Amino acid sequence: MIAEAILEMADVLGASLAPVFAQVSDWRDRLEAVLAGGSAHAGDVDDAVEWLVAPSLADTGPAIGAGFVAAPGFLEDAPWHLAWWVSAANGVGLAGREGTLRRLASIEDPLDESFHDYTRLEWWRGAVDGRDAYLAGPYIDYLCTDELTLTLTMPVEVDGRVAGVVGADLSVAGLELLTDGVIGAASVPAILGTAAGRVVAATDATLEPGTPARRLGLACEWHPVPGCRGTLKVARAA
Amino acid sequence: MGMSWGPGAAAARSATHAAIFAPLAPAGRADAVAQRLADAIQLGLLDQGERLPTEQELGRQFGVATVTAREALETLRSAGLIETRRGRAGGSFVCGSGDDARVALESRLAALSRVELRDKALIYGLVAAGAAERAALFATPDEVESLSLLVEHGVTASGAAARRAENGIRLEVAALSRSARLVSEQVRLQAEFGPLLWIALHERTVVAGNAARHRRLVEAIGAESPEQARAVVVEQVGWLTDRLLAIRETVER
Repeated sequence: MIAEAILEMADVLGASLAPVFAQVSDWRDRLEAVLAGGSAHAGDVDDAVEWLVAPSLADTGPAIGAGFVAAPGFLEDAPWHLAWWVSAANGVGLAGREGTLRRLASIEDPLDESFHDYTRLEWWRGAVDGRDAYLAGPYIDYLCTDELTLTLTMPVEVDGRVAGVVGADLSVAGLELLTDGVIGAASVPAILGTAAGRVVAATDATLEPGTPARRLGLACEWHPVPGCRGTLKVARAA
Repeated sequence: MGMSWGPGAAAARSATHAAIFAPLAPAGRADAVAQRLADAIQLGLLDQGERLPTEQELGRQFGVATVTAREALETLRSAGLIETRRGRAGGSFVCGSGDDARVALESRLAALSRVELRDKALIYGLVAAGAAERAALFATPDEVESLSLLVEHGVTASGAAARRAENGIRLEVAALSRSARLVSEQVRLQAEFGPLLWIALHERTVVAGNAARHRRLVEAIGAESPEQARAVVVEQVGWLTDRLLAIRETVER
Protein backbone atom coordinates (compact mmCIF):
# COMPACT_ATOMS: atom_id res chain seq x y z
CA MET A 1 0.00 0.00 0.00
CA ILE A 2 1.29 3.44 -0.90
CA ALA A 3 1.23 5.77 2.05
CA GLU A 4 -1.12 8.70 1.71
CA ALA A 5 1.78 11.02 2.50
CA ILE A 6 3.74 9.72 -0.53
CA LEU A 7 0.84 10.35 -2.90
CA GLU A 8 0.50 13.83 -1.52
CA MET A 9 4.21 14.48 -1.92
CA ALA A 10 4.09 13.30 -5.53
CA ASP A 11 1.28 15.76 -6.22
CA VAL A 12 3.13 18.71 -4.73
CA LEU A 13 6.34 17.83 -6.58
CA GLY A 14 4.30 17.46 -9.76
CA ALA A 15 2.90 20.96 -9.34
CA SER A 16 6.39 22.48 -9.38
CA LEU A 17 8.07 20.15 -11.89
CA ALA A 18 5.30 19.66 -14.46
CA PRO A 19 5.80 23.11 -16.07
CA VAL A 20 9.31 22.10 -17.19
CA PHE A 21 7.91 18.99 -18.86
CA ALA A 22 5.04 20.95 -20.40
CA GLN A 23 7.54 23.44 -21.79
CA VAL A 24 9.70 20.81 -23.50
CA SER A 25 6.58 19.07 -24.77
CA ASP A 26 5.38 22.38 -26.25
CA TRP A 27 8.74 22.87 -28.00
CA ARG A 28 8.39 19.39 -29.39
CA ASP A 29 4.91 20.10 -30.81
CA ARG A 30 6.05 23.38 -32.38
CA LEU A 31 9.17 21.84 -33.90
CA GLU A 32 7.15 18.96 -35.31
CA ALA A 33 4.91 21.56 -36.96
CA VAL A 34 7.91 23.46 -38.35
CA LEU A 35 9.52 20.28 -39.68
CA ALA A 36 6.31 18.76 -41.05
CA GLY A 37 6.76 20.71 -44.30
CA GLY A 38 9.81 18.56 -45.08
CA SER A 39 13.17 19.61 -46.61
CA ALA A 40 14.40 21.38 -43.48
CA HIS A 41 17.69 23.26 -43.50
CA ALA A 42 19.97 23.59 -40.47
CA GLY A 43 19.80 27.40 -40.49
CA ASP A 44 15.99 27.43 -40.35
CA VAL A 45 15.97 24.86 -37.56
CA ASP A 46 18.53 26.90 -35.60
CA ASP A 47 16.40 30.04 -35.85
CA ALA A 48 13.27 28.21 -34.72
CA VAL A 49 15.01 26.49 -31.82
CA GLU A 50 16.67 29.65 -30.58
CA TRP A 51 13.36 31.48 -30.70
CA LEU A 52 11.72 28.69 -28.68
CA VAL A 53 14.32 28.05 -26.00
CA ALA A 54 16.01 31.42 -25.40
CA PRO A 55 13.21 32.88 -23.21
CA SER A 56 13.23 29.84 -20.88
CA LEU A 57 16.99 30.00 -20.51
CA ALA A 58 16.80 33.69 -19.63
CA ASP A 59 14.54 32.81 -16.66
CA THR A 60 15.89 31.76 -13.29
CA GLY A 61 14.25 28.33 -13.66
CA PRO A 62 16.10 25.02 -13.34
CA ALA A 63 16.85 24.79 -17.10
CA ILE A 64 20.49 25.67 -17.81
CA GLY A 65 20.60 24.40 -21.38
CA ALA A 66 18.04 23.48 -24.04
CA GLY A 67 17.70 22.76 -27.71
CA PHE A 68 17.23 20.28 -30.51
CA VAL A 69 19.54 17.54 -31.77
CA ALA A 70 18.82 16.22 -35.26
CA ALA A 71 18.64 12.55 -36.22
CA PRO A 72 21.60 11.71 -38.49
CA GLY A 73 20.64 12.44 -42.10
CA PHE A 74 17.38 14.19 -41.29
CA LEU A 75 18.55 17.66 -42.28
CA GLU A 76 19.48 18.02 -45.94
CA ASP A 77 22.51 20.24 -45.43
CA ALA A 78 23.82 18.92 -42.09
CA PRO A 79 23.99 15.14 -41.60
CA TRP A 80 24.79 15.64 -37.88
CA HIS A 81 23.49 18.72 -36.14
CA LEU A 82 23.12 20.16 -32.65
CA ALA A 83 21.14 23.34 -32.04
CA TRP A 84 21.72 23.70 -28.29
CA TRP A 85 21.79 26.87 -26.19
CA VAL A 86 23.22 27.28 -22.70
CA SER A 87 22.12 29.84 -20.11
CA ALA A 88 24.14 32.57 -18.39
CA ALA A 89 24.13 30.41 -15.24
CA ASN A 90 25.74 27.55 -17.16
CA GLY A 91 29.48 27.55 -16.37
CA VAL A 92 30.72 25.32 -19.16
CA GLY A 93 33.95 26.51 -20.79
CA LEU A 94 33.97 29.71 -18.75
CA ALA A 95 36.50 28.72 -16.07
CA GLY A 96 34.86 31.01 -13.54
CA ARG A 97 34.18 33.95 -15.86
CA GLU A 98 30.73 35.57 -16.15
CA GLY A 99 28.44 33.76 -18.57
CA THR A 100 25.82 34.87 -21.07
CA LEU A 101 23.14 33.05 -23.04
CA ARG A 102 25.15 31.40 -25.83
CA ARG A 103 25.13 28.56 -28.29
CA LEU A 104 26.97 25.35 -27.44
CA ALA A 105 29.88 24.83 -29.82
CA SER A 106 29.85 21.35 -31.37
CA ILE A 107 31.80 19.32 -33.90
CA GLU A 108 29.49 17.95 -36.59
CA ASP A 109 32.07 16.48 -38.94
CA PRO A 110 32.17 12.69 -38.32
CA LEU A 111 35.76 12.60 -39.61
CA ASP A 112 36.97 15.02 -36.95
CA GLU A 113 38.67 13.35 -34.00
CA SER A 114 36.58 15.33 -31.50
CA PHE A 115 33.31 14.28 -33.14
CA HIS A 116 30.75 12.55 -30.88
CA ASP A 117 28.24 10.06 -32.17
CA TYR A 118 25.45 11.40 -30.00
CA THR A 119 23.09 8.59 -30.96
CA ARG A 120 25.02 6.33 -28.57
CA LEU A 121 24.42 8.57 -25.59
CA GLU A 122 21.90 7.86 -22.85
CA TRP A 123 19.80 11.00 -23.41
CA TRP A 124 19.44 10.12 -27.11
CA ARG A 125 18.82 6.39 -26.76
CA GLY A 126 16.34 6.83 -23.92
CA ALA A 127 14.05 9.16 -25.88
CA VAL A 128 14.44 7.52 -29.29
CA ASP A 129 14.33 3.83 -28.26
CA GLY A 130 11.41 4.40 -25.90
CA ARG A 131 9.70 6.90 -28.27
CA ASP A 132 8.80 8.88 -25.19
CA ALA A 133 10.10 11.40 -22.66
CA TYR A 134 13.32 10.29 -20.96
CA LEU A 135 15.22 11.70 -18.00
CA ALA A 136 18.97 10.93 -18.00
CA GLY A 137 21.16 11.40 -14.93
CA PRO A 138 21.91 12.90 -12.47
CA TYR A 139 25.38 12.87 -14.05
CA ILE A 140 28.33 15.22 -14.44
CA ASP A 141 28.00 16.82 -17.81
CA TYR A 142 31.59 17.90 -18.40
CA LEU A 143 30.96 19.17 -21.91
CA CYS A 144 27.78 21.12 -21.60
CA THR A 145 27.11 22.20 -18.01
CA ASP A 146 30.14 21.27 -15.85
CA GLU A 147 27.80 20.36 -13.03
CA LEU A 148 25.46 17.66 -11.74
CA THR A 149 22.72 17.56 -14.35
CA LEU A 150 19.48 15.87 -15.36
CA THR A 151 18.78 15.87 -19.10
CA LEU A 152 15.14 15.64 -20.20
CA THR A 153 14.66 14.61 -23.83
CA MET A 154 11.63 13.87 -26.00
CA PRO A 155 11.60 12.45 -29.53
CA VAL A 156 10.55 14.78 -32.37
CA GLU A 157 8.68 12.80 -35.01
CA VAL A 158 7.85 13.72 -38.59
CA ASP A 159 5.76 11.29 -40.67
CA GLY A 160 6.29 8.55 -38.11
CA ARG A 161 10.07 8.90 -38.34
CA VAL A 162 12.34 10.32 -35.62
CA ALA A 163 13.64 13.71 -36.77
CA GLY A 164 15.65 14.26 -33.60
CA VAL A 165 15.23 14.96 -29.92
CA VAL A 166 14.28 18.14 -28.13
CA GLY A 167 15.29 18.64 -24.56
CA ALA A 168 16.52 20.61 -21.58
CA ASP A 169 19.39 20.29 -19.12
CA LEU A 170 18.27 20.78 -15.52
CA SER A 171 20.68 21.72 -12.76
CA VAL A 172 20.34 19.30 -9.84
CA ALA A 173 21.48 22.11 -7.52
CA GLY A 174 18.69 24.27 -8.98
CA LEU A 175 16.12 21.50 -8.54
CA GLU A 176 17.17 21.18 -4.91
CA LEU A 177 15.54 24.57 -4.31
CA LEU A 178 12.29 23.29 -5.83
CA THR A 179 12.26 19.95 -4.05
CA ASP A 180 13.58 21.04 -0.63
CA GLY A 181 10.36 22.65 0.48
CA VAL A 182 8.38 19.51 -0.28
CA ILE A 183 10.87 16.92 0.82
CA GLY A 184 11.89 18.82 3.93
CA ALA A 185 8.24 18.97 5.02
CA ALA A 186 7.63 15.25 4.42
CA SER A 187 6.03 13.33 7.27
CA VAL A 188 7.52 10.00 6.08
CA PRO A 189 11.00 9.20 4.74
CA ALA A 190 10.84 9.40 0.95
CA ILE A 191 12.95 9.30 -2.18
CA LEU A 192 12.46 11.08 -5.51
CA GLY A 193 14.04 9.03 -8.29
CA THR A 194 14.18 8.77 -12.08
CA ALA A 195 12.40 6.00 -13.97
CA ALA A 196 15.88 4.95 -15.13
CA GLY A 197 16.66 4.25 -11.47
CA ARG A 198 18.69 7.05 -9.95
CA VAL A 199 18.11 9.09 -6.82
CA VAL A 200 17.34 12.78 -7.48
CA ALA A 201 16.48 13.90 -3.94
CA ALA A 202 15.61 12.29 -0.61
CA THR A 203 14.39 13.20 2.86
CA ASP A 204 17.59 11.58 4.11
CA ALA A 205 20.07 14.35 3.26
CA THR A 206 22.98 11.91 3.40
CA LEU A 207 21.63 10.10 0.34
CA GLU A 208 23.41 11.61 -2.66
CA PRO A 209 21.76 12.45 -5.97
CA GLY A 210 22.91 10.00 -8.63
CA THR A 211 22.99 6.95 -6.34
CA PRO A 212 21.57 3.91 -8.19
CA ALA A 213 18.19 3.30 -6.54
CA ARG A 214 18.51 -0.48 -6.75
CA ARG A 215 21.41 -0.30 -4.30
CA LEU A 216 19.04 1.01 -1.65
CA GLY A 217 17.12 -2.26 -1.61
CA LEU A 218 13.72 -0.57 -1.42
CA ALA A 219 10.93 -3.07 -1.07
CA CYS A 220 8.04 -0.67 -1.59
CA GLU A 221 6.16 0.65 -4.58
CA TRP A 222 7.11 3.71 -6.63
CA HIS A 223 4.48 6.28 -7.40
CA PRO A 224 4.76 8.47 -10.53
CA VAL A 225 5.05 12.24 -10.12
CA PRO A 226 2.06 13.73 -12.02
CA GLY A 227 2.88 15.73 -15.14
CA CYS A 228 6.38 14.29 -15.52
CA ARG A 229 5.52 11.72 -18.18
CA GLY A 230 6.53 8.77 -16.07
CA THR A 231 10.16 9.86 -15.82
CA LEU A 232 10.09 10.77 -12.11
CA LYS A 233 8.67 8.82 -9.20
CA VAL A 234 8.47 8.84 -5.44
CA ALA A 235 8.84 5.97 -3.00
CA ARG A 236 8.77 5.60 0.72
CA ALA A 237 12.30 5.07 2.00
CA ALA A 238 13.15 2.32 4.44
CA MET B 1 23.03 17.40 -22.58
CA GLY B 2 26.21 15.61 -21.75
CA MET B 3 28.41 13.67 -24.05
CA SER B 4 29.82 11.68 -21.20
CA TRP B 5 28.09 8.38 -21.83
CA GLY B 6 29.70 7.60 -25.14
CA PRO B 7 32.95 5.79 -25.45
CA GLY B 8 34.51 8.93 -24.13
CA ALA B 9 37.95 9.53 -25.66
CA ALA B 10 36.46 12.18 -27.95
CA ALA B 11 34.43 13.69 -25.14
CA ALA B 12 37.52 13.79 -22.97
CA ARG B 13 39.36 15.56 -25.75
CA SER B 14 36.83 18.37 -25.85
CA ALA B 15 36.83 18.82 -22.09
CA THR B 16 40.59 18.80 -22.16
CA HIS B 17 40.59 21.47 -24.85
CA ALA B 18 38.48 23.62 -22.54
CA ALA B 19 41.11 23.10 -19.80
CA ILE B 20 43.99 23.84 -22.16
CA PHE B 21 42.54 27.20 -23.12
CA ALA B 22 41.27 28.22 -19.65
CA PRO B 23 42.32 31.68 -18.34
CA LEU B 24 45.60 32.12 -16.46
CA ALA B 25 46.92 33.86 -13.33
CA PRO B 26 48.75 37.17 -14.07
CA ALA B 27 52.42 36.35 -13.24
CA GLY B 28 54.68 35.38 -16.16
CA ARG B 29 51.74 35.18 -18.50
CA ALA B 30 53.56 34.65 -21.77
CA ASP B 31 55.57 31.82 -20.21
CA ALA B 32 52.43 30.32 -18.71
CA VAL B 33 50.63 30.40 -22.07
CA ALA B 34 53.64 28.84 -23.79
CA GLN B 35 53.94 26.13 -21.10
CA ARG B 36 50.24 25.25 -21.24
CA LEU B 37 50.34 24.86 -25.01
CA ALA B 38 53.68 23.03 -24.95
CA ASP B 39 52.24 20.55 -22.42
CA ALA B 40 49.21 19.98 -24.61
CA ILE B 41 51.41 19.35 -27.66
CA GLN B 42 53.74 17.04 -25.73
CA LEU B 43 50.76 15.21 -24.30
CA GLY B 44 49.44 14.60 -27.79
CA LEU B 45 46.27 16.54 -26.98
CA LEU B 46 46.94 18.96 -29.80
CA ASP B 47 47.75 17.04 -32.94
CA GLN B 48 50.49 17.33 -35.51
CA GLY B 49 49.27 19.80 -38.13
CA GLU B 50 46.46 21.14 -35.92
CA ARG B 51 45.95 24.85 -36.36
CA LEU B 52 46.11 26.95 -33.21
CA PRO B 53 43.68 29.84 -32.66
CA THR B 54 44.87 33.28 -33.85
CA GLU B 55 46.84 35.59 -31.51
CA GLN B 56 43.69 37.63 -30.86
CA GLU B 57 41.62 34.51 -30.20
CA LEU B 58 44.31 32.99 -27.94
CA GLY B 59 44.53 36.26 -26.03
CA ARG B 60 40.77 36.24 -25.50
CA GLN B 61 40.60 32.58 -24.45
CA PHE B 62 43.52 32.77 -22.02
CA GLY B 63 42.46 36.21 -20.78
CA VAL B 64 45.78 37.84 -21.76
CA ALA B 65 46.77 40.68 -24.13
CA THR B 66 47.30 39.86 -27.81
CA VAL B 67 50.95 40.86 -27.48
CA THR B 68 51.37 38.31 -24.65
CA ALA B 69 49.87 35.58 -26.83
CA ARG B 70 52.24 36.59 -29.64
CA GLU B 71 55.21 36.30 -27.27
CA ALA B 72 54.08 32.81 -26.21
CA LEU B 73 53.75 31.68 -29.83
CA GLU B 74 57.26 32.98 -30.48
CA THR B 75 58.57 30.81 -27.61
CA LEU B 76 56.81 27.74 -29.05
CA ARG B 77 58.18 28.55 -32.51
CA SER B 78 61.76 28.73 -31.27
CA ALA B 79 61.24 25.47 -29.38
CA GLY B 80 60.23 23.90 -32.70
CA LEU B 81 56.77 22.96 -31.44
CA ILE B 82 54.79 25.09 -33.89
CA GLU B 83 55.40 26.65 -37.30
CA THR B 84 53.78 29.72 -38.74
CA ARG B 85 52.60 29.87 -42.34
CA ARG B 86 51.66 33.09 -44.13
CA GLY B 87 48.81 33.69 -46.52
CA ARG B 88 45.14 32.87 -46.69
CA ALA B 89 45.54 29.31 -45.36
CA GLY B 90 48.11 30.60 -42.89
CA GLY B 91 48.31 30.52 -39.10
CA SER B 92 50.25 28.66 -36.41
CA PHE B 93 50.36 24.90 -36.77
CA VAL B 94 51.51 22.23 -34.36
CA CYS B 95 54.61 20.57 -35.80
CA GLY B 96 56.22 18.76 -32.87
CA SER B 97 54.04 15.73 -32.12
CA GLY B 98 53.69 14.10 -28.72
CA ASP B 99 56.23 11.46 -29.62
CA ASP B 100 58.81 13.92 -30.94
CA ALA B 101 58.56 15.82 -27.72
CA ARG B 102 59.86 12.99 -25.53
CA VAL B 103 63.27 14.65 -25.26
CA ALA B 104 61.73 17.92 -24.06
CA LEU B 105 59.60 16.03 -21.52
CA GLU B 106 62.59 14.07 -20.27
CA SER B 107 64.57 17.23 -19.63
CA ARG B 108 61.64 18.57 -17.64
CA LEU B 109 61.59 15.30 -15.70
CA ALA B 110 65.30 15.59 -15.00
CA ALA B 111 64.87 19.17 -13.77
CA LEU B 112 62.44 18.04 -11.05
CA SER B 113 63.75 16.73 -7.74
CA ARG B 114 62.60 13.27 -6.67
CA VAL B 115 60.83 14.92 -3.74
CA GLU B 116 58.79 17.18 -6.04
CA LEU B 117 58.09 14.32 -8.40
CA ARG B 118 56.80 12.06 -5.62
CA ASP B 119 54.71 14.90 -4.21
CA LYS B 120 53.07 15.62 -7.57
CA ALA B 121 52.42 11.91 -8.06
CA LEU B 122 50.90 11.70 -4.58
CA ILE B 123 48.24 14.35 -5.19
CA TYR B 124 47.52 13.00 -8.66
CA GLY B 125 47.11 9.50 -7.23
CA LEU B 126 44.89 10.64 -4.38
CA VAL B 127 42.50 12.48 -6.69
CA ALA B 128 42.40 9.63 -9.21
CA ALA B 129 41.92 7.03 -6.46
CA GLY B 130 39.21 9.12 -4.81
CA ALA B 131 37.41 9.40 -8.14
CA ALA B 132 37.67 5.61 -8.64
CA GLU B 133 36.32 4.93 -5.15
CA ARG B 134 33.31 7.15 -5.80
CA ALA B 135 32.76 5.72 -9.28
CA ALA B 136 32.33 2.28 -7.71
CA LEU B 137 29.48 3.69 -5.60
CA PHE B 138 27.61 5.31 -8.48
CA ALA B 139 28.27 3.52 -11.77
CA THR B 140 25.51 1.52 -13.45
CA PRO B 141 26.24 -1.54 -15.65
CA ASP B 142 25.80 0.64 -18.80
CA GLU B 143 28.46 3.03 -17.63
CA VAL B 144 30.83 0.22 -16.67
CA GLU B 145 30.37 -1.16 -20.20
CA SER B 146 31.22 2.26 -21.73
CA LEU B 147 34.33 2.53 -19.56
CA SER B 148 35.38 -0.97 -20.52
CA LEU B 149 35.09 -0.08 -24.24
CA LEU B 150 37.27 2.95 -23.63
CA VAL B 151 39.90 0.83 -21.87
CA GLU B 152 39.91 -1.83 -24.61
CA HIS B 153 40.15 0.89 -27.24
CA GLY B 154 43.27 2.31 -25.60
CA VAL B 155 44.97 -1.01 -24.86
CA THR B 156 46.93 -1.24 -28.08
CA ALA B 157 47.98 2.42 -28.18
CA SER B 158 51.43 3.69 -27.26
CA GLY B 159 53.14 7.08 -27.10
CA ALA B 160 50.85 10.07 -27.67
CA ALA B 161 47.82 7.85 -28.39
CA ALA B 162 48.35 5.98 -25.10
CA ARG B 163 48.56 9.26 -23.23
CA ARG B 164 45.31 10.40 -24.87
CA ALA B 165 43.61 7.13 -23.91
CA GLU B 166 44.91 7.48 -20.35
CA ASN B 167 43.52 11.01 -20.25
CA GLY B 168 40.13 9.82 -21.50
CA ILE B 169 39.87 6.96 -19.01
CA ARG B 170 40.82 9.13 -16.01
CA LEU B 171 38.31 11.79 -17.03
CA GLU B 172 35.52 9.24 -17.55
CA VAL B 173 36.16 7.68 -14.13
CA ALA B 174 36.12 11.17 -12.58
CA ALA B 175 32.77 11.88 -14.27
CA LEU B 176 31.38 8.64 -12.81
CA SER B 177 32.20 10.01 -9.35
CA ARG B 178 29.25 12.45 -9.77
CA SER B 179 31.41 15.29 -8.46
CA ALA B 180 31.92 18.35 -10.67
CA ARG B 181 34.88 19.49 -8.58
CA LEU B 182 36.60 16.12 -8.78
CA VAL B 183 36.24 16.26 -12.57
CA SER B 184 37.75 19.73 -12.82
CA GLU B 185 40.57 18.84 -10.40
CA GLN B 186 41.32 15.71 -12.40
CA VAL B 187 41.42 17.74 -15.63
CA ARG B 188 43.78 20.27 -14.00
CA LEU B 189 46.10 17.55 -12.71
CA GLN B 190 46.12 15.77 -16.07
CA ALA B 191 47.28 19.01 -17.67
CA GLU B 192 49.90 19.68 -14.98
CA PHE B 193 51.34 16.27 -14.17
CA GLY B 194 49.98 13.99 -16.89
CA PRO B 195 52.67 14.90 -19.44
CA LEU B 196 55.41 13.78 -17.03
CA LEU B 197 53.71 10.70 -15.65
CA TRP B 198 52.98 9.43 -19.10
CA ILE B 199 56.59 9.52 -20.24
CA ALA B 200 56.52 6.03 -18.83
CA LEU B 201 53.74 5.08 -21.26
CA HIS B 202 56.23 4.95 -24.10
CA GLU B 203 57.45 1.42 -23.42
CA ARG B 204 55.29 -1.49 -24.58
CA THR B 205 55.61 -3.44 -21.35
CA VAL B 206 54.50 -0.44 -19.29
CA VAL B 207 51.56 0.22 -21.64
CA ALA B 208 50.50 -3.42 -21.24
CA GLY B 209 50.90 -3.33 -17.45
CA ASN B 210 48.92 -0.10 -17.31
CA ALA B 211 46.12 -1.56 -19.43
CA ALA B 212 45.93 -4.61 -17.15
CA ARG B 213 45.49 -2.24 -14.19
CA HIS B 214 42.75 -0.32 -16.02
CA ARG B 215 40.96 -3.64 -16.60
CA ARG B 216 41.19 -4.42 -12.89
CA LEU B 217 39.76 -0.98 -12.18
CA VAL B 218 36.79 -1.57 -14.49
CA GLU B 219 36.26 -4.91 -12.76
CA ALA B 220 36.32 -3.32 -9.31
CA ILE B 221 33.88 -0.58 -10.36
CA GLY B 222 31.63 -3.23 -11.94
CA ALA B 223 31.78 -5.26 -8.72
CA GLU B 224 30.67 -2.13 -6.82
CA SER B 225 33.76 -2.37 -4.64
CA PRO B 226 34.99 1.12 -3.66
CA GLU B 227 37.90 -0.27 -1.59
CA GLN B 228 39.14 -2.38 -4.46
CA ALA B 229 38.78 0.47 -6.99
CA ARG B 230 40.76 2.81 -4.76
CA ALA B 231 43.45 0.20 -4.13
CA VAL B 232 43.87 -0.51 -7.86
CA VAL B 233 44.48 3.18 -8.66
CA VAL B 234 46.80 3.80 -5.70
CA GLU B 235 48.91 0.82 -6.82
CA GLN B 236 48.74 1.90 -10.48
CA VAL B 237 49.92 5.46 -9.89
CA GLY B 238 52.63 4.26 -7.49
CA TRP B 239 53.82 1.76 -10.09
CA LEU B 240 53.88 4.41 -12.86
CA THR B 241 55.76 6.78 -10.54
CA ASP B 242 58.39 4.11 -9.88
CA ARG B 243 58.83 3.65 -13.66
CA LEU B 244 59.14 7.41 -13.97
CA LEU B 245 61.77 7.62 -11.23
CA ALA B 246 63.69 4.86 -13.01
CA ILE B 247 63.55 6.77 -16.32
CA ARG B 248 64.67 9.91 -14.53
CA GLU B 249 67.84 8.13 -13.37
CA THR B 250 68.76 7.25 -16.96
CA VAL B 251 68.24 10.77 -18.34
CA GLU B 252 71.44 12.79 -18.94
CA ARG B 253 71.58 15.84 -16.70
